[in-house]
Amino acid sequence: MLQYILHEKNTMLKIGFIICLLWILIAIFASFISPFDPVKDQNMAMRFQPPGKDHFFGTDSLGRDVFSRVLYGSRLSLAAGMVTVIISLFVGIIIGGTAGYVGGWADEILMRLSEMIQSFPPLILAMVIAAALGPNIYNSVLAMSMIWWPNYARLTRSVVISIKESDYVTAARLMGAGHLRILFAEILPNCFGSLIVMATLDLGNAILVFSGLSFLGLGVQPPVAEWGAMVSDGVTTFNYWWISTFPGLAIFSVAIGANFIGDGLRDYLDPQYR
Amino acid sequence: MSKPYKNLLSLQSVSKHFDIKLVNGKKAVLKAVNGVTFNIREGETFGIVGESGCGKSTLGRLLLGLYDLTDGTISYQGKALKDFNRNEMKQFRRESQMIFQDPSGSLNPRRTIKEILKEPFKVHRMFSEEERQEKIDYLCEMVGISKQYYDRYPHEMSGGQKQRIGIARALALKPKFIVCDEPVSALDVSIQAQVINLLKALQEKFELTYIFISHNLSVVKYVSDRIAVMYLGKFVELAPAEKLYQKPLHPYTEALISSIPQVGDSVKRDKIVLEGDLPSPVHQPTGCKFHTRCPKIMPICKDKEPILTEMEEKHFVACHLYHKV
Repeated sequence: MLQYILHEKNTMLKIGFIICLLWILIAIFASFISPFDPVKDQNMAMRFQPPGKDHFFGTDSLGRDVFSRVLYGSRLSLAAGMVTVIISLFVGIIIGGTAGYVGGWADEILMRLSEMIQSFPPLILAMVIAAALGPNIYNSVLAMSMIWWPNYARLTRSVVISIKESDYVTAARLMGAGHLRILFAEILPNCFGSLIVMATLDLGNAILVFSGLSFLGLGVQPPVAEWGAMVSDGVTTFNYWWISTFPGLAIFSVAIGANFIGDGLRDYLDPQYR
Repeated sequence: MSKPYKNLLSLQSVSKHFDIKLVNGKKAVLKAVNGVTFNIREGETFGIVGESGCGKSTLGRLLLGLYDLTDGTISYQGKALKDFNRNEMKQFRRESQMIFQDPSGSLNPRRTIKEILKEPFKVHRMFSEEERQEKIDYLCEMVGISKQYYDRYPHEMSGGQKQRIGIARALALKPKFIVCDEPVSALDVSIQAQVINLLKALQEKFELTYIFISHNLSVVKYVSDRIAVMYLGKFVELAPAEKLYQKPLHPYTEALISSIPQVGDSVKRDKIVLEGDLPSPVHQPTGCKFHTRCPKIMPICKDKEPILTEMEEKHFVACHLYHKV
C-alpha cells in the first residue's frame, strides 16, 4: 500500500498522507518542538500578544503560547477523533453486518435501535451520556462512539443486503463456506471502500464534536490544551483573532488531510478504479 | 448412451413455494416448482428448457440444496438431502457445483483470479500453498486460461474468459455433478460454441453429470442426452433429446421447437405462435396449466390436470390429447 501511495499519480492522496503524517509526528514529538510548556508557562504580563517572533501564533488570555498549545493539542484531538471513529467503525460493521446478513427480526431490532440513536441530535445525546458517565476524556470518547456507530451500521447493512444474494456469494455457499467466512471474506470487503471514505470524513467531525463536549465542560478539563476548547476560548475575546484561528486551522487541515486520504484509499481499495 | 446408468439424483414430487408480498401488500404464494418427479443418471446431461419464470432456475438450485423444499424429497446417491449430517453435507458441497448465467456476477470483484480459484481449497482446508498453485495451474490449463491472467481482476477480463474461470472454480473440488444455469446465454454467439465444447470435453474427461438449464433450444439439443420441457413449475414432456426434437408430443413443445430459427429455406416449417404470456405463477390456471394458450384445447383441459405418463419408450408427456387414446 505504501508503494501505491508513493508511486501512483494520485496527488490528493499524497497531500493527504503528508498532512496526516505531519500531524502524527507533531503529536508524538510535541514536547521537543514546542518552544513553551502549554500549561505551566503562564505569563499574565504577556497576555494577548499578537503573532510575532517569540510567539508564532500569539498568546491567549493567560499569556500561554498558542503555538505550543496547538502542537500539544494535536495529541488529544487526533487520538480522540481516531479512537471514536475506530470504535464506531468496529461496532457498526458488526451490528450492520449481522442485521443485513441475518435479516428478519435481528434486522428489525438492530435497525430500530440505530434509528432511536439517530433520532437525537448527536451533540445532545453525547452530552447526556458523557454527563451520566462522569466528565472525563474516556467517557466522552465512549459517548461519542455510542452515538456514531449507527451511520456505519446502516451503510454496512445496505451493502450486505445488496450483495448477499449475488452469484458469487451463492458460489461460496456451494463450496461449503461457512457464514462467517461468507460475511467477512466475500461480502464485507465490498463495503470497506465506502466505509473508509465515511470514516475519514467523520474524523474531522468527531474532532469537532469532541471539542464541543470540551467546551461544555464534559470532555477535556482546563487547562489541558485541546483544539476545540481553544477555539471556544477565543470566542469570548473576539478582538484577538489568533487565539481561535490557529487551532481552527489545525482542525481544518486534519479534516482535509483525512478526506484526501479517504478519497485516495477508496480508489486503492476498489480494483475497478485502479 | 448404452452404459448401465445409476441414478445420481432422484426427485420425488418436489415442490418449492415462495411466500411473497404483492404490490398491494397482500401475501401470496408463488409456486415456482410444483410436484416434479424424475431421476438424473450418472454421466448424463439432463437438459431443462422453458420460458423465463417457469421455475427451471429454482429447480436447479433445489438440486444443489440451496433452498428448503416445500414438499417432496431429493435424494443424492440414495439418501435424502435433508437427512444429511454435517460431514455428508460437506461432502455433498464438494461433489455438487454450479455454473452461473452471469459470468461477472459470479466472481467477487475484489478478488484476483488466483484468489478466486484458490478459495475452494481454502474453504475445505485442502493442500499446501504450493499444491494449490499446481492445482490451479492445471485447472486453468483445462479451461484455457493462460497464467498471465492470474493477478487480474474479473472486470479486466472478457465475458468468455470470466465464464471459463467460473468453470475452473466449479471443477476445483472434483464434483460429480454440475448444475449449469444458462451458462452461455450471456455470452457472444461465437464464444457460446467454444464454452459449450469446453463443457462437453470436460464432461468426458472428468465423467461429470450435467444438469443443463437453458431457454435456448438449439444449445440444449446439442448438449443433452435427455430433455425435460418445463411449464409453470411442472414437466410437460420428458424425452431423449433426438426424440423430443423429431417428434414432440406436447403442444407446448411443438410450439417451442417450431420457433427455433432455421438456416436456409429448404425446410420451411410453419411457426406455431402462442397467444398471450406465461400465466403468473401466483395465480395459476386450473386443470392443465397450459390450457390458456394451447392451440389444441379440449373441454377436459380446463378441469383436469394431466399426469406425466410414458407414451412411447422413454418418452413422457403430460397432455390429455394422448391420455384418452
